[in-house]
Amino acid sequence: MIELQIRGSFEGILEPFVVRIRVGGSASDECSHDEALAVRSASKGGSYECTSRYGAFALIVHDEQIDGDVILCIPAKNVAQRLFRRSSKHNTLLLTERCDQLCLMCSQPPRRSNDEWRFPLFERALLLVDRDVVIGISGGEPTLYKRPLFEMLSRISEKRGDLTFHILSNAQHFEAVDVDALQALHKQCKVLWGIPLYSHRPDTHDEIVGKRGAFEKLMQSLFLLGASGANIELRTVITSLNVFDLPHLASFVANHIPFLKFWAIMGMEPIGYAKPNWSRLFFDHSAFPQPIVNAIEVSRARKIPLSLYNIPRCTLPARYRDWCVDSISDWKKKYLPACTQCVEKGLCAGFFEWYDQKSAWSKIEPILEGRALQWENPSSPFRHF
Amino acid sequence: MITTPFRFRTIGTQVLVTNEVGDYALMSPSTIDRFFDETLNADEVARFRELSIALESDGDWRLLSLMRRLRHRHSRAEGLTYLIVIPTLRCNLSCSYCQVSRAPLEAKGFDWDSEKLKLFERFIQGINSSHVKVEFQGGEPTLRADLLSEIMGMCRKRFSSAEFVVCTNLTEIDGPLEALYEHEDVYISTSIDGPIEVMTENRTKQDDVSRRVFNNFQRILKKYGPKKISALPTITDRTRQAPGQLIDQYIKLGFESIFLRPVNYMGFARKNFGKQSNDVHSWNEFYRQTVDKIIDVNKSRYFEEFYLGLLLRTIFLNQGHGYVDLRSPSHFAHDYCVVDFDGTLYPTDEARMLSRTRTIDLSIGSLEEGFNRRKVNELNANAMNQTNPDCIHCAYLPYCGIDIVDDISRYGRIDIAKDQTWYCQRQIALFDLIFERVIARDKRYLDVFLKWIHRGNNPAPTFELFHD
Repeated sequence: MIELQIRGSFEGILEPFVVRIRVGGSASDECSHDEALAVRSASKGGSYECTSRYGAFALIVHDEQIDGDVILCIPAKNVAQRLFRRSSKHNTLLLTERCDQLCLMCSQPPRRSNDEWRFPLFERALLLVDRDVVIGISGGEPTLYKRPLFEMLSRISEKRGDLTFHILSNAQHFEAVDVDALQALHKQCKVLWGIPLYSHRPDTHDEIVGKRGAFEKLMQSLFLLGASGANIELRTVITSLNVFDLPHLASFVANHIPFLKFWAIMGMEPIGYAKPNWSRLFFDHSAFPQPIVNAIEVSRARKIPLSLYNIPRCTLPARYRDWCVDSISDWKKKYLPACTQCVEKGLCAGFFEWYDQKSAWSKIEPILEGRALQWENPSSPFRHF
Repeated sequence: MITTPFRFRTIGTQVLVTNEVGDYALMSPSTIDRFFDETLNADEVARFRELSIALESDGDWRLLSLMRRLRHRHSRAEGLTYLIVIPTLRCNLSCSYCQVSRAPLEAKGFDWDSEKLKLFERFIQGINSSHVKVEFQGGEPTLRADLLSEIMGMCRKRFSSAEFVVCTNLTEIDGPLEALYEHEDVYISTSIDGPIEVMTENRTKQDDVSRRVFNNFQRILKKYGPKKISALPTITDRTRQAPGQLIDQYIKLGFESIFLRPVNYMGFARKNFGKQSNDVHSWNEFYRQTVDKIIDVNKSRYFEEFYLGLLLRTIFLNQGHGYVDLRSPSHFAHDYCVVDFDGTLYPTDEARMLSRTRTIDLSIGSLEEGFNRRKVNELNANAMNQTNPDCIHCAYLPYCGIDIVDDISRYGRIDIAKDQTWYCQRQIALFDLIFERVIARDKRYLDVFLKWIHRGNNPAPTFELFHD
């Protein structure tokens, strides 16, 4: 698994800081103001000696590709977090761990943490990332800090108009008075709002997100977002509580939210709350794909752009496999032993690192006749942007 | 609680409830009673809320959504994008049901001259649109391949994209026509009423000519493929006796759809077929029986009744369409108009025919003087089911259109109670047919409906589109 958090030693440095790594051959190589020159240590394996304007420090990392990464160093904890990895197409900032919903299958269970001290560091980090990349902003619920967030994005896009942000939000915190600020933000900066909607039935949605009234608030917010010119990606995780609603949800989305950019139906990630709730929530669509298939058909007939995230191709009938996209972040993606034989592996989202074969899809088998192709551009839905 | 307009209709044991934009639910009659008694239970309230009918406050997003959808439905295309052009009124055939008092082949003064061409060129310069579709009607437009060619050239020059449909009797496809048809943006539409003996009786009067038409059809099909050519039947009494023959003929010719279109109550048709063309009940009966046959045909192949397919997609996919007789408001002369052989403009082809037969003058201008907006507005003000007192309580209103030209042709007036009109009674019968099958969960029909909705032979069983 890719190391997102790496060990380090920061003797003499007290405050957290952000630098971009430049791997160099020797300590005399040049690097810019915001960079740390990292030289592989001859004596200790996997260790880099780094120099920066914040002082000298050491990192212990086995990943070969750290050049160009932007890291947040926290000397007090002797760790550095890789906020941005040059080699990855899935870079996401966890803005806060707080959340006001408690989704039954949450992969990132919320905590009452204090996160605000990180915001200026995140801002500095975003100024250092590579050009034209997509940065995910996730949580917790980022819009719990909507004002600081909007302001930060606005400041960043003044200097970095090339960046695109994919913000995952439960859309529970938008008010009519935010429309102007949102409108300004959307003019200034490329944002895709990823927003979960689990059912067209208010009760079902509310039950899944663990918050009464969430559905109504969400729908209201979608109209506020729509009015502010937002790009909206609706995200629907498949669970046994909502799977039979999916075809109806397709009609619902087409009727009420045709101004969305994309709709994603997503496989559940077997981590966080999903683990203890797995037997109650997991739906084996490989044994009975009809609700997914019907949702695909209805969305196609209603011209709603639908993709399937986190769904291995072999779990669906052949004619529906092309709705699957490569959605699992590289650092938590794996393939199974059976996948080596599969000719469509290069087109497949694969499995979450924490996928357990014993408790999931019953029909996982290599596709032996198909198209041995690779995604031309294995990025997020932004390929449509 | 606030309520938005809704309508309902009893169909068998159920009540169909539709909202302002055509979302529907099937309820029990007692639920409707409880709505008006204000004694709905919580589940029932939720169902009305789901239809955006009963809302707790005007801050409900459903109201916003309803307004957005309503605005979207009523927004009209700007700029003419569909022109029916009649370069000549002359025709080499004399069909028994001809709607337009065609002119004889040798007649003078029934073709566009160079002045008309110039006026037309000026007319299309004034159109505010980048795309156009031109349908050539007649008479028999192929008698003047030279005019077709000139008009096509003008349109290709003026618009960034243009398409042409030549509506021809297909007695001739050679000579200069061959060069016209070779263009990819040119399509052919023709009339096929059934096997050779029906074609001869209805249209050609000679088996030789009928045979030539079928030969030409096959030649076109072979040379250009099935996308190039479409056909429409006109259904007279003879066909009604043996609809299977007509369907077989269309399948034999390779068609995947047929439009069961009744004879119009106009022109020669009125003279020759007055009784049958005005008897809507016998038409509806014929239609039901024929559709039932078509449903069976679909066991082994894809074969659609065009109009029913259009209605199904309108209802179950909430889909718009460009079919003029099935819209409301009709938006006459906004995106669509007819240019006659003498340069007169009409709102629809049927309006042209009524004017031609001197039933009523429905002209709305000329190439020379442009549109007479006063007349256009007068027509449009009356071509809206949303404001018609007979329509506004009809559960089918969101799916239906309005056809005042047909009303005028049959009754000489537009203010006859709509439920007494041919148009309304035909529409109601169609909608009832659809919802009766939905209520009965009649799988034999619903399977085929899904084929037509998804336009595919082997659709996923998305019965969710019918029931909640």
